Formats: sequence, structure tokens, C-alpha cells
Amino acid sequence: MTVRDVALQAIDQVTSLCEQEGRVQLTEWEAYKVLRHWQIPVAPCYLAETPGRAAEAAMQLGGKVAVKIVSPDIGHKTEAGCVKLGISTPADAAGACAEVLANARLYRSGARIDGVLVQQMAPPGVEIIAGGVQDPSFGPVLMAGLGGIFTEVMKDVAFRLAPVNVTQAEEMLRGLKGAAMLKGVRGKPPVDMDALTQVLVNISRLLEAWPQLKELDLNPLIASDRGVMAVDALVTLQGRV
Amino acid sequence: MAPTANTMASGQKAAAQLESMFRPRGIAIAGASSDPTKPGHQVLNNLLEAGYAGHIAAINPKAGSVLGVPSYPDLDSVPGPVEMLILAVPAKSTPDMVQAVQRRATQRKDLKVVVAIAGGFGETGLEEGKLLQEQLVDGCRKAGVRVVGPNCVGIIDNRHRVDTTFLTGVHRRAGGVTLLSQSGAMGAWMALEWGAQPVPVGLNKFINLGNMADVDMTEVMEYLAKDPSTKAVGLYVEGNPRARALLEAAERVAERKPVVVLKVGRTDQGSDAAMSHTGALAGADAIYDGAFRQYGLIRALRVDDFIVTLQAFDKLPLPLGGRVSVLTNAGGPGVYTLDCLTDAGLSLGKFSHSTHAMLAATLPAFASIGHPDGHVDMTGGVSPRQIAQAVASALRDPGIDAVIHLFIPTRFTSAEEMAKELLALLPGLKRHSLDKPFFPVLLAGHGVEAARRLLEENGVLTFGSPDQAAAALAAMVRFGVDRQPPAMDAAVDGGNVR
Repeated sequence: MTVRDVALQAIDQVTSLCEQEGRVQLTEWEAYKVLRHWQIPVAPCYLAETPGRAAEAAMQLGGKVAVKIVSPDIGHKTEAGCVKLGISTPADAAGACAEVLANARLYRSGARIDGVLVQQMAPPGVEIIAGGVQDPSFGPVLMAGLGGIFTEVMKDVAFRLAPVNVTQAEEMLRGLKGAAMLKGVRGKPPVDMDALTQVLVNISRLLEAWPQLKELDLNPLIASDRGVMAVDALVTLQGRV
Repeated sequence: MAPTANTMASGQKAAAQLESMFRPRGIAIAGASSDPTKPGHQVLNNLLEAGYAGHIAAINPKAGSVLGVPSYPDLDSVPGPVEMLILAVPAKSTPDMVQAVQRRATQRKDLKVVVAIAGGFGETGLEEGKLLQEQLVDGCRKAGVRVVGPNCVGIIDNRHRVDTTFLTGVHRRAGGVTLLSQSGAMGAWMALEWGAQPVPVGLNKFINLGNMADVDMTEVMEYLAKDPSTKAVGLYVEGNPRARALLEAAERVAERKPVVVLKVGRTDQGSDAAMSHTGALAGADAIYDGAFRQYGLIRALRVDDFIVTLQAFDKLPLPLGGRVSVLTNAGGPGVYTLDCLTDAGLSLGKFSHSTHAMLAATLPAFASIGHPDGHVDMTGGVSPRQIAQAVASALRDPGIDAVIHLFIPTRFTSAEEMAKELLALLPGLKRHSLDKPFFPVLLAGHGVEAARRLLEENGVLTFGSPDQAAAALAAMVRFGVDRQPPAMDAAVDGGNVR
């Protein structure tokens, strides 16, 4: 099996599982598994079932971590009080894990819970929003733009029909209103553009290979001089019509 | 998907059939009528007015001749060849027409294309209409005949003097630009706007395919990519379920020829059903806009910019770069023009020392030269001859790729005198192979109409506003830049994860 075959299999497996379970949203953990196969970097993370495991994961990762619920029944994690950010110690990670698990059960009793995601907090960088949709007229469409407030207020995003090549991805980023952010402002080093454009190329290939997809949302993707990594992923499938 | 031998062959056959849309040997009009309120009357009238040189036949059981054209009771009795049949008859007569088409195709084997003008088909959304459309297309396709429409304005080909439309006021001179419009009415607006210049620019083809039940815009775009007489394409699109295929075909045209696009619905919002930020932002127009950029299609936001840009592509040489010079006899409009250039993403060039010296020697002492670089305020006291000499100096400067010349007439400086002086100098400039785009902007309205006409009659395209000149020039610069040799990695697109 080629690398591509394995990557395609990852899509098939999670798509079939969602179909069987009658849901359209992937958990963050499921989404990350697919992303890794398509060479889309994700902030290092572990799935932990218990507070003890969460502490171990935090120790392994080192530095500050985030703790987030992983449940096929909870889409809006923040709303459910199931996201804790900037946790400094393994003990705090254990505490956050217990709290998030409890909040999840409060939010939705009987929710299936796979565990918590313990994820390294990304180094500071420029927040990028990237992803795409399957459009009825155009098929797979890639989106990329500046995340955070730029997305909320300025809608500073661009679209291209997937797949794109490196040149097209570069041109897409250069055309953003806030493109100067990527070159480094206020003394910050410029973003690793080679890494960022390659990630967009890889996202576009994933979109092309996943016709059952509805929307893919990597918000944010943190880009810095040391590379690019996703710290959240929302994947929605079309579901049966 | 790579084209197989089979699809290649059928593609060639399709191209030959489309050729008959624009260059038919023989045209018959079903429903041709002496009654001016009937579409069949107006279509025949247009065809005669266009001066179609081939064989024209009216089909009307009740008349011996229509508008002086011999009339026949049915398609079977029309002498050949008839490559195009225009259906100017109501939708309900479709079953009879299809039978006649099939008989003709079997017996005479000359019919290639049917242009079905009438409405009352699929666009109604009614079962009856959809069924008639299916009958029309299936019946004709079985006979090897292609269908344009139904519910279409149709085709104008000024080179071959074909006009299947009932439009009025469309200029009939042949030129290099083909207009392909998804909407009949937008197409009519464009076709009329096309003739708005003091001396209308020629038009190559006008195409509106209505319901696109058979021949669609993608197929026509493929044809235009290979049509040597089409130098540039103006495309009007709106929501289109086959948008990707259409724009991919447009990209193949844009590799060699400019494609300028107008699309309405810019203000639409993202889908309400979106689950994520990405989904909410992915409004149809945002995707179209991205695809236009990706495929090197030039988007115009206004109809007048769309038209003027296409005409500039047809009439002017491409600039070799984006270094612009602005010469004006009026200060305020000069600054206005600099704003237009900035909005359009253009910037000024810098005069060489010798150009600067020439301008200083030519122009009145109080002229402002090179403030900013590339900009000359010649002032209101400048004479027509001085203007022409200054324009020539700017055009000769190797550091300048295009010249915008802004002019407001006064009692001292007549627009016509200025035009005559320009004409005396411009042919000389061309002989010295300094073939750069030149944008004379004469302000404004009726006051400069005669001068613009004089220039245009002598082959110099003029512009009605700095906004239009800047929009056209920006499009030309972008087209040139996009077609520079691609970077190495542009060819790498394996589609594999590595």
C-alpha cells in the first residue's frame, strides 16, 4: 500500500464509522488522525481516559497544555465548559481532566465520552484559519485566511478550487488584505511560508479526496517561523440526504 | 481525466458542429412571418440586416415569400444546404419540428444545428415544459443535430453576418471580442453597451445559449479557445451548477487570450446551514472570486469597465510592464486619475533625464514635471501641439510602459485641434516600433464627442473617464504579468501525499 492508499483508508474508516453511528461530526481526535495521514501538522497531543493518564500526557508533552473533551455527542466543547487552556502542571492537567469529564456529563447526561485530549499549547504565532467545503457547483474548495479577529471582523479569507499547487497557495496568501502579518510585524520573525503553503496544498488534496465531506475547519492553525500546526479541527460530513 | 481517443474524436466532431453555429451554410427560419409582432419576423429582419450572404429560407405554410425571402411550407421542401434551423415557433410545436428535423437529417444530411428561441420549456419549471425540452434535445441529438437554447437570445457572428436574435441596435462591424452571456438580458445590455463608443468597436460574436439544454457555455468556451478570430472573451456568469467545468474551460482560453468576467450576486452571504466558520464564509461569490483569480480570469465589477477593458484588449498593444505615466492639462482631474490608478493597483513610472529635459523644453515654464514621478501637469495654458509633443516624449521613454493622457478643453485649447496634433504624431511613433498602449481620456460628454470621434475614426481608442482607463490598463498589466513564464514549482501537481 502506498502512503496515499493509507491516507485514503483513514478517510474511509472514519467516514464509515460516522455513517454507522448516524453522526455527521468527527471528534477532534478522529479529525487529527486523518489530518496526520495527509501531512497536515497538529499540535502534539494524547487521548487520556482518566485524570491519571492526563497527568502523564502533560508530563510527556512538557510546557503548557490544553485539555479538551473528546465525545461524539458534544460538538460545542467550549459552550459545554469542556475546554481548559494554559495548564502548567501534570497535577493541574489531572484536575482539568476531572473537571472537563464532569462538565461533559452535566452538559449531556449519557454522552459517549472517549476521553480528554491533552494537547501542547502551540508556540505564539499568527493565527490562520484554513479548511474548505464541498460546494455543489465547484466541488472541493480550499479556504485560507487570517484567523481570530481578522476572520470575525474583516472576513479576510480567500478561496481556491482544490487541489492547488504551491504557487497557487502562495498567491492565495499574498492576496490577503492582512498578508503583511505573515511577513512579521512589530519585530516578530516572518512566518515559515514554505511550511504554510505546503500545508494548504495538503489540505486541498485532502478535500479533493473526501467527497463525503461537508466542511473542514482548522481554526486556528498557528503559523510561526518554526512551522505550522493545527490546534483545533472541526470536520463535518454531509450525512445522508 | 485524460482525454481518450474516443472523446478526442467526439470533441472534434462537436467543434465542427459548433462551427455551424457561427458559420452555417444555409439558414432556414421556422415561423418566419410578415407580422412585425412575431419573433419570426424580427429574426428574419435581423438576418437580412446583418447581410448574411448564404442561402436564407423562410418556413411558413401560408406565405409565398416573407420580407422578400422565398418561403416554403415545411422544412422538407426547403432546398439545401440548410445547416442551421432557427425555431421561431411556440414550444408546443416541438414534436412536429423534431420529426421534421429527423427527416431532414436522414434524407438531406445537411442540418447541423437548431437554434430554439422560444420560451415555455425547462425554464418554466413545469412538467410540460421540461418534457418538451427533453423531446427537443433527445430528438435532435438522435439525428446528430445540436440544439442551441431553447429560451435563448441566440447568436450574432459579425464576421459571417449571422444574426439569429431579435435584438436591436447592435453594432455590426466585426472585431476581435466575443461576448458569451449566461443571461439573455444582460447579454443584450452588453451588446448594446458595446456600441457606446463615439465610433463603435467591432464585435466578433455574441452568444446566449438560454436553457443550455444541449450546447452549454463550457463547450462554447472550448470552441473559443481554438477560434483564431476571437482575440478576447467577455463572459457573463451567474449561479451555474456546472461552474467548475465552465471556469476550467475559461482557464484554457485565458492561457492565451484575455477573458474578462462579469458576475452578479457579489453581495450574497454565506450559507445559513453552515456548521463552521469556513462553511459560513464560503458564499458562492467568494468562491467564484477565488476561482477567477486562480484561473487568470479578469473580473470587472461594472458593465462599463467590462466593455471598455475588452475593447482595450482588442484595440491596444499589451503593456510590457506596469509603469504608467499620466499627462494632464488639468490639476484636479490629474490627482483624481492618480487615485484611480492606486485603486486599480497600478503605479507611476519614472521619466529618464532626457525625457524630463524634453518635456521641460516643450511645455510652458510653469508646467509641473515629475511631481510625483511619471506625472505631468501641463497646465491649462498648454497648446495642442505642446500636448502632442509631450505625449510623444512620454511614450518614447523606455521606463514608461503606458501613457494616460487626460484632457479638458478650454477656449484656448480646442479638443479637435489637440486630436489632430495627436494624430499627426502617433503614426510616427508606431513606425519607430514604440507600440505602447495609449489611453486618451477626453473629458467630458458631448463637448469632446467630435474630438473622440476624430481620434477613433483614425484607429485611436479613446476613453470617457480616468476610472475606465485605469480599469482597462490594470487588466492589461495583470494579463501580461500572469503570462510570464511560470516558476519551477508551478508544474508540480502530482496530487499525491508525499
